[in-house]
Amino acid sequence: MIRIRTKLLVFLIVLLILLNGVAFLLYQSNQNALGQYNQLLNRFFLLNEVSQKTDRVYELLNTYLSEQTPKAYQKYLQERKTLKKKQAQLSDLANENNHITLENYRHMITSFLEESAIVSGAFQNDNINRYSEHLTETENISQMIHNATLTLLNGELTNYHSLYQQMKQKNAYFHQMGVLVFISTFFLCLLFAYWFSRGITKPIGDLTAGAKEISQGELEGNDVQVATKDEFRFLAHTFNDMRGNIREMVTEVNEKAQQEQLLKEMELKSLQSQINPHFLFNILNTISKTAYLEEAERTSDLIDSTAALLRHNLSRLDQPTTLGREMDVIREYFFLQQARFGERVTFQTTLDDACQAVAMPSMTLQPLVENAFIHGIESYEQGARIDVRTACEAGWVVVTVMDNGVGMDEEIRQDLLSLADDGPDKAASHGHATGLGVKNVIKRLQLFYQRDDLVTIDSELGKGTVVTLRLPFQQGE
Amino acid sequence: MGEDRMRIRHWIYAGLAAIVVFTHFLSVYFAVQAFQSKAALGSNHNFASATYHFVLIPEEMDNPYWQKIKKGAKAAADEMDAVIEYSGPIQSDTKKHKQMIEKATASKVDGIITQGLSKATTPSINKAIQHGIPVVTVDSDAPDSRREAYVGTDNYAAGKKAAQTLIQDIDGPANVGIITGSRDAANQKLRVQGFRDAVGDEADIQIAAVKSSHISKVRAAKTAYEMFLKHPDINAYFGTSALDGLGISAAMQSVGQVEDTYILAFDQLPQTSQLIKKGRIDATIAQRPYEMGYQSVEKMVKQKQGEPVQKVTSTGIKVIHRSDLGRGDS
Repeated sequence: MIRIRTKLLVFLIVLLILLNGVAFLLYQSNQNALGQYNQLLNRFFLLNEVSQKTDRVYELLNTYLSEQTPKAYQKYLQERKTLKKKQAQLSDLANENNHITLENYRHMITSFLEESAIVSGAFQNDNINRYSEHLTETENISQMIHNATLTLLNGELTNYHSLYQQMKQKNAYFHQMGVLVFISTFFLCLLFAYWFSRGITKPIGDLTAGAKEISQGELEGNDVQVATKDEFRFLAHTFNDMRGNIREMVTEVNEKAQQEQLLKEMELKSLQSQINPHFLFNILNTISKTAYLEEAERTSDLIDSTAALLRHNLSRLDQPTTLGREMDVIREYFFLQQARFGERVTFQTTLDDACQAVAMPSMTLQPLVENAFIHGIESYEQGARIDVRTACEAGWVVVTVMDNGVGMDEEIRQDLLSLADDGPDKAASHGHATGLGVKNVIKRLQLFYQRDDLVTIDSELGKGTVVTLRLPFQQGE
Repeated sequence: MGEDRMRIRHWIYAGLAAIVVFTHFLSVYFAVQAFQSKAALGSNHNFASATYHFVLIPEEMDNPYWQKIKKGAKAAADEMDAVIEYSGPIQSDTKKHKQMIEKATASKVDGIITQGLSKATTPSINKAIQHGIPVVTVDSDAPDSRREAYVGTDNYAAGKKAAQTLIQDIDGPANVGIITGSRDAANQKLRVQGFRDAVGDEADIQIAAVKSSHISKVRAAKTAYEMFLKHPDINAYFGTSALDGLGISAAMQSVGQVEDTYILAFDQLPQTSQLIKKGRIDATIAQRPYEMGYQSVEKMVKQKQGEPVQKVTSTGIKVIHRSDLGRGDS
């Protein structure tokens, strides 16, 4: 992840290096130019100084000649020394164009010094003729030195005219470079600012839009996408996860509500048939005991079964029950139906003891058996058969309800399995004990176990139907 | 709508990036240019320093004749590890010429090659010798000075040769006007003298006038014109310095006499050659300036190396007529 701070830092450092580099370059070139100007000026100054010192030496020589004091002589000697020193520095000025002139120039100074020495020497020896002649010579040479100075200065100026042009050109280049770098940097900053601000505002905008959708209850919107790899990507991920979680939770809540709705429906139906259960049970009990006392034991048993069946049906349906108890109810139901139809039907139940305690929603098996009875075999005069089997295998309990009745066509089968809620159960129109349809059972099972693959129906017209429930259970429950 | 905005945004990005890249490249280009321009003070000491440093002092700096001498001197100097400093008056000027010699003396050069010019230069030449600087005279001599050697035309012989050429070419009586570069310059005087001596024996050759042109073409033309007005019977002119012939030719051209007048020039400038080809100058006495320059340096180097040097060396002359210019022969 490239952090926003890192981005800013990198950009600022790049900017800093760029601008400082340019500033340094410009500074350096200015320093260079300054150095060269200085060098140039120093050359001019040196030539000028030599010329002036020559004058000064000549002047002091004349002063000495007129004043004739040792002090003046000392001064004159002093000035000669400075001139010699300057003369020594002249060799630094040599270049291709002026070295011959410069050599002449240096020799002229030597000649000048020699001549002036002859003058002072002759003067001290009182050789008047000689010294006046050489004094003129000295003056002539000093004049020549002046002229040579001008020639050299001229040469320097011509020489450095081109140098100056080059330096000007170079400075112009640097200037143009500087201006362009500043323009470039300006646009670079603009580009960065534009890109960077978009990198912040766009994810924020997307997140805001997403949040607005959520606040309006729309949970199905697209995920917020962030192109950058900074903190916003993390934020967007978190936001997307959060939205997903909310979506799941809402679905869960909705399903729970639906389950409750179905249970309510069942309770309502059972309440419709519940006139006064306690009164009914007491009456049934009294009838059963009376039948028993009158030694009609079979009648008493039938009434007991009816009471048991009723009790189960009127009990709290939203509490899960066990497979064993469901099977007990089925047996009561079979006992009553056996009494009613006699030899026409055969009922059989097989219960695997291992899965007697498996938890399951109540009123699951009875509607299936009722369905098999009413739609499958009720019309048979004889040989009808309903078989309920349970078997346990590795975490699954398999309950099979088989009949050898008329069967159902594919359309009905699909209709039962499809989860589409198409109003009241068609099968519920027939009068039967609980009035709950197969569809209700399948739906409740799906809500209870949160799976779709629990029920399979195999049927063939004229041969019968097999409904298989394959329910998961946790061992040790 | 969103797509439009995205397109606009992409254009903005692309535009900004293009500007950044463009300006950046330009700035780099200028930086490279700036670094490549070598504006540095030439404080290099890599110039060749020769063994000898001679000064060649011409009569006139830009004179083509002297340029040839310079060329010869430089050629010799290149062969003998010497440098020639060519420095003299812009226009012929005896005083300046003397100063130049004195300046060279004060500059303690290794040798001075100069024109003898006139008696005025003799003390300067002697002074240089006194300071231990050898002097070689070229073109014209200063025979009274202590110069080491003279290399150049034997001007007296050249004057004589001019007279002989004139007599031969005219082949009859002639009234001659002489225009000379300078009445003081030794070489000019010798030429005139040689001419005079050569025609002295001939009865039908007369010298009508001798005038100075001060080595200027305009003054030469003016002098020739005046001479023509004063002596209309002059049928031959002799110009003793390089520009005199040109001046005479121009003057005769302006009075329409160029065909009928015999014009004898001295030296062979390119213009002289052209005029000879056109028939406006009849002949010229050519010297050998290149030889002079070359041999003067040779003599100087010999002198420096302590070898004996021939005092006077004549480089010879050549008479050039139109017929001699056929095939670029100088």
